[in-house]
Amino acid sequence: MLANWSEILEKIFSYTLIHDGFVATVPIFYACMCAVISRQANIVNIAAEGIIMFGAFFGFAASYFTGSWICGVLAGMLIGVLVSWFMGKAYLNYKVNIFVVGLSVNMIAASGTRFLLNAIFGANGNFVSDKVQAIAKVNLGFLNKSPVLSSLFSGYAVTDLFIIPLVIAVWYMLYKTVWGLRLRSVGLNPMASMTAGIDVRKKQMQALLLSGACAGIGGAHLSLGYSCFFIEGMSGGKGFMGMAAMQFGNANPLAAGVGCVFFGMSQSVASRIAPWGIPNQFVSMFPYVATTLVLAITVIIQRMKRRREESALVGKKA
Amino acid sequence: MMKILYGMYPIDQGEIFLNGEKVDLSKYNTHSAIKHGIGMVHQEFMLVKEMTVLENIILGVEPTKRNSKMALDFTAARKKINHYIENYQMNVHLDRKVLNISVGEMQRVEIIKALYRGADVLILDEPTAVLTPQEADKLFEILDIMRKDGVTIVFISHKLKEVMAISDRISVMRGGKYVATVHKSDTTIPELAKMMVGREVFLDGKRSMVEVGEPVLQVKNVYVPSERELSKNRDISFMVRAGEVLGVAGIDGNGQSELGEAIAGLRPVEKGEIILGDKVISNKAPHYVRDCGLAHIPEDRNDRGLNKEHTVTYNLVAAEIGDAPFSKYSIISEKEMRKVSEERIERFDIRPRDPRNLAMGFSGGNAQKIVVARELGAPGKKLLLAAQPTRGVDIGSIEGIRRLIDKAKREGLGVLLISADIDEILALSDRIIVMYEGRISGEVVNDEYLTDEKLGMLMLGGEADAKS
Repeated sequence: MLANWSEILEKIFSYTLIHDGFVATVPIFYACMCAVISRQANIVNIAAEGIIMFGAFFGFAASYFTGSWICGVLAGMLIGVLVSWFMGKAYLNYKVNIFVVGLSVNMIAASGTRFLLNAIFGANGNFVSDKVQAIAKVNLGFLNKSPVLSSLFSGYAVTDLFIIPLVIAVWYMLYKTVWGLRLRSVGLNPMASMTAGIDVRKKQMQALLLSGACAGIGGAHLSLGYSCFFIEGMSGGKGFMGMAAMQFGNANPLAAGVGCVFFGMSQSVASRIAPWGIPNQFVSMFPYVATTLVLAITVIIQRMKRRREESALVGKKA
Repeated sequence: MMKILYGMYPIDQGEIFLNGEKVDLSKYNTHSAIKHGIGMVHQEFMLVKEMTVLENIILGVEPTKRNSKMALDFTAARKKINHYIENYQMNVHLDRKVLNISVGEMQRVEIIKALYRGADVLILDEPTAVLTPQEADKLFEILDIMRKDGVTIVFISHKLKEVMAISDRISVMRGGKYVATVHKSDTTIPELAKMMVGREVFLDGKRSMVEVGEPVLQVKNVYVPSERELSKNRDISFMVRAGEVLGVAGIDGNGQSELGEAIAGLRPVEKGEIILGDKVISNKAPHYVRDCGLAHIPEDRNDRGLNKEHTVTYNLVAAEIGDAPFSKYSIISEKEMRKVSEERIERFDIRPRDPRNLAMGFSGGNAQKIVVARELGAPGKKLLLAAQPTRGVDIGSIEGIRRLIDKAKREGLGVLLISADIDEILALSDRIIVMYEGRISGEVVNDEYLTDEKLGMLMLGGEADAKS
C-alpha cells in the first residue's frame, strides 16, 4: 500500500507538472492582468470571464475564416477592447453601476457565444474544425535529447510565452512610467488627480481598454493555444480566478502572479489525481476550493496585519 | 469661488482676466488653470496618501528620462524640488509616504506642488485651520518670502487676525456675494467682521461660569487603535464634570478624532475603560452609548452628521426615531416627527425653515445647526461630545453654535470639545487638555495666565513650564 502511495505521488509530482502547471496558469494570468489594470484605476472589473468567452469565440472564428492564428489572436484582442469600450461608456459616461455592467457582459457572453456558434457554424455546444489554425508552438529541437529539458522549456504556444513579457510590461508601466503613476493616482485618490490636472475619466477608460485587450488575448489563447476547439462555457471560471489572484496580490502584477501560479498548479494537480479513483466531481471542485481557501487565508492574514499595525498597544511608543 | 477660478467648477457667466489678458472660458478646466500659472492649496489636501511625497509633487507634470516619453525621471524631479525647498526653507521628506507625515508638512507639500507647476498665483484656502500658532507663523514667513519673489497670494480665511497680519488688500464675501475690497491700513478687525456678517459680531463673548457637579465622563488609561502611528491613543486619562467644558486641543491628526470616536462607540478600545454616568461605554454599540446620555456632534458633518438625501425632519429625529412618540409598534408617526422637528427648527434657528427640505441643500452653518439641534434637542443627555463643531461654518453660525454649546453647559451637561481651532478652545473651555502624538501632553486651566504660545508649545509636544 505504501509503495503504491509513493508511486502515485511520484506520478503526480513529476517534472512534467511544471510544464502542465505553467500551461494551466497562462489563461488565469491573462484574466489576472485584466483585473490588475482595472483595479489600479479603482474599477472592480468582473467582466474578465465574459470577455474571455468573447475572445475565445471570435478568436476561434477568425482563425476559421482566415486560416491564420495571428488573425485569431488579434480578433480576440479587438473584441476585448470593444466590449471594454462599451463597459467604459456605460460606467463612465452614463454612470451605470460597474457590477451590473460586468454581470451583463458575463451573461451575454455565455449565451451570446452559444447562439453565435449555432448561427454561424450550426454547431451545438462545441465545435472542432480542421480549418482552424492553432497558435504556433515553439519547439526547441536541440533540447530533444533530454526529455526533462525539452519538457521544461519546449513545446509552449507563442501566447503561453507572451505572458512573461506582458506581466513584466504591465508591472513596468504601472510603477515606472508617467502613465502608470497617473493611473495609480486616479485609482487611489481621484480628487487629488483631478486637481493635478489629470483627466480621470480618460485614464479609467484607458485602463478598461487595456484590461479588455488582455482578457481578449487570453480568450483567443484559450480556444487556439490552450486547446484547439470551442466549447460553450470554456472559460470555466478562469476570469474569476484571475480576479482572486489579483486580490491575493493586492493588484501588484508580480505578487498576483504568485496567486495565478498557485491556481494553475492546483488545477493540473487536480487533473492528475483524476485517474486514481477519486470522483470527477471532487477533482473539478479542487481549484475552486483552493481559490476559496487562499482568499480566506489572504483576508485573515491581511486583517491580522492591519489590526497589529493599527494597535496602540504595540509599536515603538507603547 | 476659488474652485471656479481653479477650474474645478464650471462658470455660468462672466469673465476672468489674468495678467491683463482675457482667459478663454469656453474650455476652462483645472488643466488650463495650471497652465495659466494658478496654483491652489485646498483646505482638504489633495494628496494621494499611499504614494510618496515625491510622487505627489510631480503628479500630472512628470519629468521623463531623455529619449523617452514614458519612463519617469525621479532624479531630475528631486533636483528641481530641492531648489524650492532650499529657497523657502521648507522642510519636507520626499521619500516618505504622505500618510506618514504631519499635517503641516502636507501643507508644505501642497505649496511645493503648486510652485513646481510654475504657479505665480497661489490660492490658499483656510491654510491655518490645521496648524499650531508656531507653524502658522512659519507659514507666514514662507509666504512673505514668496511675495517678495513676486508670487501673487490669495489667502482665504475666516480668521480676521490672520487676514490682517498677511494681506495687503482684503476682499470680503458674504453668502456667495462680493461685499467690498479694502486696503489693510484702512480697516480694523471689528469693521471686517461687521462686513462679513452684516451686523455686529461678538465672537469673544464671555463664557458663563457654572458650578461644576459630579463627573459625567471618565476616561481611564485608554488605548485606541488607529491607521496612523501618531494618532494612536496611548494611556489617555481624564474626566469631564457636569457643568464644565473640557477642551481637547492639538494639531489635527494627533489622536483627537480617534478619542472622540472611541467615546462615541465608533472605534474599539484596546485597553482601559470609558465610563459615562455610571455605565461602562467602551466597546459598546453607538446606540447604547447614546442611550446612556451621549450627545455627539461628529467631526464629519457630511459623512456622519447628516443623511444628506433625507429631509430635515428625518435628520432632526433620526437618533430617536425608534422610540415613542415617533414610532409605535415599529410604525413611524409622521405627525409627531413633524411637530418636534418644527419646534427644533424654531428653537435652533435653522434656515430655511421648511422641514421638508433635503439636508443636501443647506449651507455649512445651517447644516451643522441641524446636527446640533438633533443632539441637544433630545432629552436625557448627560455629555455633549462636540468634534470640530464649527469647521467649515460661516462666522455668523459659529457664533450661534458656540452659544449653544455654552448653553448646554449652563444646563448641566458636561461638554468635551475637540477642536483644532485654538480660538474656539479658548473661547469655550474651562479646562484644556492638549494631545500630542496620541498622548496628553498637558492639562491647563483656562484663566488669564494662559497664553497662545503656551498652548502652542504643548501642541508641539513641549512641556508646560508650570502648571497654572
